Amino acid sequence: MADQKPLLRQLIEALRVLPSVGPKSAQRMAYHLLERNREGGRVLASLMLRAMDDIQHCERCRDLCETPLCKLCANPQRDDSRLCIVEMPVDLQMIEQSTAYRGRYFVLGGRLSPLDGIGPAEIGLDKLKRILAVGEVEELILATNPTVEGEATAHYISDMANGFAIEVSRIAHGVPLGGELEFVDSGTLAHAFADRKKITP
Amino acid sequence: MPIASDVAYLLHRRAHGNTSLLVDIFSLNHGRFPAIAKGARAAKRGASGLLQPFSPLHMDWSGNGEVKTLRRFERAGDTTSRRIALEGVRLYCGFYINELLTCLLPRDDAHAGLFGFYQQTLVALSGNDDIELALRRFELGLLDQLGHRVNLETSLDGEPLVDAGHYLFTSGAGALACKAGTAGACRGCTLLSLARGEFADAEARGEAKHLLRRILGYHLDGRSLKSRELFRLTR
Repeated sequence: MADQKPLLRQLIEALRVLPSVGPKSAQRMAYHLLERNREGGRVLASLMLRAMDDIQHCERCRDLCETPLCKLCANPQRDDSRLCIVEMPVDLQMIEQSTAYRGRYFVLGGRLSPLDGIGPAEIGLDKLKRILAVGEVEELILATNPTVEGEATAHYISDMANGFAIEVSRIAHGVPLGGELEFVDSGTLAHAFADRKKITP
Repeated sequence: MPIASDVAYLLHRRAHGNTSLLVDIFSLNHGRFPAIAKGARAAKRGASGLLQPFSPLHMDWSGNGEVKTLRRFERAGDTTSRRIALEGVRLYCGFYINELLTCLLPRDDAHAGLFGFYQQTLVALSGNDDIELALRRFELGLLDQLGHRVNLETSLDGEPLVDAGHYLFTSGAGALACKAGTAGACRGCTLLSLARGEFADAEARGEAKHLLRRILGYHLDGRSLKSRELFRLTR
């Protein structure tokens, strides 16, 4: 195979699958691994192979996991009556770390974005519908991002849930903690003002 | 480097690299073009919040290539001007007209008339106006501006349409009189009321929708619009 590219060149090209890695960075990475850290490179290669083969989507919530059901879905202590919808697995992690929420999750893996060719089927909404149809869920918490696509997704799902008589709530958006009104953009401020909260003594 | 400046809307945005956005811009005097907003995703204080579809922005950009670089942007219009906020089904409609524009409007082709029309449609959608009427008007206006005017007043053989007549549209070209009950035919009153910017009756809504879907389908050349899927639940 005389016309095959040298291994080094192949490695550099392969490294470019990583996000925001251009030819220059890929070259630096390849030289670094070969000259300075072969052991690290071997560990990375074997882990990468195992991860690509063994990490799947959870059958229930679509989060990434190694078992058919993820840890959260397999945990019998979690509250089955509440379901929180997030866009990405990283959003789930953030909510787990920052809140006292004890219900279940559903990871969309994206948002409705017709101009990117992403419709209801692409973000697993048929699966969500089946979960809602079972009748265990009483409250749906929509934690999609406050972008126009996130809002459209939240609205679509709330429409879907209405058919099952499920209580639907949307996470609040407004002035960040420690922020100053002077520097908040007008859209956020308008939202915060419209959704103001009554103070109960 | 020369810097151009204009009022514009964002039709679409997607992540580009770690912190930048690749945006599709529709501007008043420069038409539709792609641009990079460097660092906009990581920027604090609402920069990313500003770069959202459906709000008018003042933009400065530079670059000679196909993809421009956004230099500066801020909300257009003074603080008293009406904020365009689309919710629920009206938001789906916003996606729909944006998708129509991205599919049908050629790049770097200025359409000041269409821009004004787009703005009017957004205002109509954000208020309490009839959604379907706003969409039909936009579709007709878009076709008209792109040079594919749909003649709703005279038939292909030059006869004026009449309320009681029935007409068939052939591949976007024009109306031909036909017998009542012909598959895909439209009533004359539907077409004439649509030309006046209204619906004659409830049946005219459905007829007008299917008529425009067929005509747009012809110009879309087989491409299907993803945003139509969003309306499935609302039907």
